[in-house]
Amino acid sequence: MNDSISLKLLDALDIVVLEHGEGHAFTLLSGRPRWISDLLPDLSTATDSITLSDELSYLGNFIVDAYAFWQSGSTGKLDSGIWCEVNRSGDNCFFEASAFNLENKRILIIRLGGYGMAENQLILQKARDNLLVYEDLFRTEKDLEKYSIILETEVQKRTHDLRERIKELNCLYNMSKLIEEKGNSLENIFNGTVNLIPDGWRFPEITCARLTVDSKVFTTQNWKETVWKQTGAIVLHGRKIGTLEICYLEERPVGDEGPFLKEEQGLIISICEHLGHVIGRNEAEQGLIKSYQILRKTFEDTISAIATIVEIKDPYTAGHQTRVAKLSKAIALEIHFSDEQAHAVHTAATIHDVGKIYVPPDILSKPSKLNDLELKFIKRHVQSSYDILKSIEFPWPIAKIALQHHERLDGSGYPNGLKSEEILLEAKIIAVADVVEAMASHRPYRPALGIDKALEEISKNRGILYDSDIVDICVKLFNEKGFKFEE
Amino acid sequence: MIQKKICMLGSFAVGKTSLVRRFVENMFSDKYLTTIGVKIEKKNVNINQENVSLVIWDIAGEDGFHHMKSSYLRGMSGYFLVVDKTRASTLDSAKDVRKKINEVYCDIPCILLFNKMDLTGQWDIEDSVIEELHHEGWDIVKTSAKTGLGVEEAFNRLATKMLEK
Repeated sequence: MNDSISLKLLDALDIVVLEHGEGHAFTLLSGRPRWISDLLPDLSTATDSITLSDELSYLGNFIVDAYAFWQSGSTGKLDSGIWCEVNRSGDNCFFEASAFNLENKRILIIRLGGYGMAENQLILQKARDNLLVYEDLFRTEKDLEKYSIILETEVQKRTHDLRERIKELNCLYNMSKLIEEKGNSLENIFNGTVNLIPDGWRFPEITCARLTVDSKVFTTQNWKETVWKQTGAIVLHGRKIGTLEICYLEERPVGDEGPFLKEEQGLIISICEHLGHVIGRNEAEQGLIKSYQILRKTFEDTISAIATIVEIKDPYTAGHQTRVAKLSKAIALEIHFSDEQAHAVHTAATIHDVGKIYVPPDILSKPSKLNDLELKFIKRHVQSSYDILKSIEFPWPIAKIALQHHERLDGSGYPNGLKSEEILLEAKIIAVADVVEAMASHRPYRPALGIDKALEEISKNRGILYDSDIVDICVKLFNEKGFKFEE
Repeated sequence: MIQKKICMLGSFAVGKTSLVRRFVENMFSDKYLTTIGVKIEKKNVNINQENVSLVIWDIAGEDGFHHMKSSYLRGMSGYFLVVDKTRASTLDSAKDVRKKINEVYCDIPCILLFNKMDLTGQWDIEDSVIEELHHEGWDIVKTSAKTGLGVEEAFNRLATKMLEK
């Protein structure tokens, strides 16, 4: 290739070739393209020689290495690597330089970067973009791991807290069961409560409790007072009536309040409140029972007083109502009436003849047979009993029972001629007891007929006038169960 | 005029070129364009009534594809180690670079730049870590090439340190 072609080729490839002479001097071997003046302003005016010092930023820096390379006489090539400088128009220009030792000449070539460099940049750009995406993914994965650990720790903590809450709830629930258990005394509740406490606390195996109410003390078996203590006051109507103390027997890590959790402080307060309510409720119940007993006695006394009024007026039938009441109650219990129902029958029987107060004493104590008018007076006593009793608010239909106690199954009774199912069972019981007692006792118009005659009478009219079951029970009471009327 | 060579060092994509562009041209672009080899920029500044020409060597960040030539550092008067606050791994790289430089050059002014301070929701490096580095003796400036935060301050501070040497 001749020199002319070589120069044109170098121009076309944007390559400048320089030969190193003495010191920092270089001789231009190639053409002088326009771009080189941006990089080496001196070259544009120089004729055949130029000085390259190390002050020429990047190229100057490379020259230092190139001197060492030329000096070594190496046959290879030393590359500068790509660098970028901003030209006078403000555009980025990429360059690359290389140093050679060629036939004892020290050659420096400078190349203007073109399409190839842009392609290199594109490849590197893509690689780094991918690297950033990968880094981002890796960081996300690390974040996920971190969040997973945080989440797991949180779940563990909450599970633990939940277990603690369940323990507390169990403690309160078992305490409620203890309180609601029918007939459980206060002492049982207190004893049970102190023994339920350890399971509600974080370290049950080292928890002990002591409950002091008034002067009574209840403790767990392992009770020992220590410095790791929690206390709660039991208050009733604003007055402190007791103390609940809970101790750990050994030291434990510090919680919210000493070794205890704030939830445990909440629990001790809840237990004390429960105990306060229990004591209050118990006091109220006792008061209520007492009031009821007083009321019941007053009621009984009133009933008895009413009965006495009638018997004062009719001495011949003195004690009749009391005896009828006793037999009626015995029959009621025998046919499995509840205590309450049996008491109703007894009460009704005790005053069933209260209407006799309106019957003139002469008629009541007449020693001979009564005429129709007198009989009419006597029969009116059931309506009178009803009229007296209906205005009193008994818990049972006392007035109706008294009204019906002379009714008979076949409708032959009075005052309304009711039949079988129309008559109250209580009235049917009193009807039988009334007849038996009346026949067995002395009357002004006849001597006592005796219990046998009385039982014969009711047995004879069993299912006709009197209820069969009641008759059978009555007979059984006298004949088999030893029932007797007291004198 | 005094001329001082400053090298911008640190991992790729930490914002070295953006910081230089903000300082030299007061411009910013969100688009990431990787640097090939070395890009050289110049800016004259006046430090304590002295005109100084800063020759800034914006050196391509190191990664698995590209390694920095040690000859690039020849003649440098000071350098910035740039860290991306949203990528904790770039702090490790910066520490490695400083270790390597200290093995060859001694006592060259250096400032650690925590860049991308504007991306507050994406920070991956706690302030407590930065505080700790400060206590260890690192000269630190928090920067944002996007907003310009700390950029002027960082170059001026490094230039002052270089002149004081």
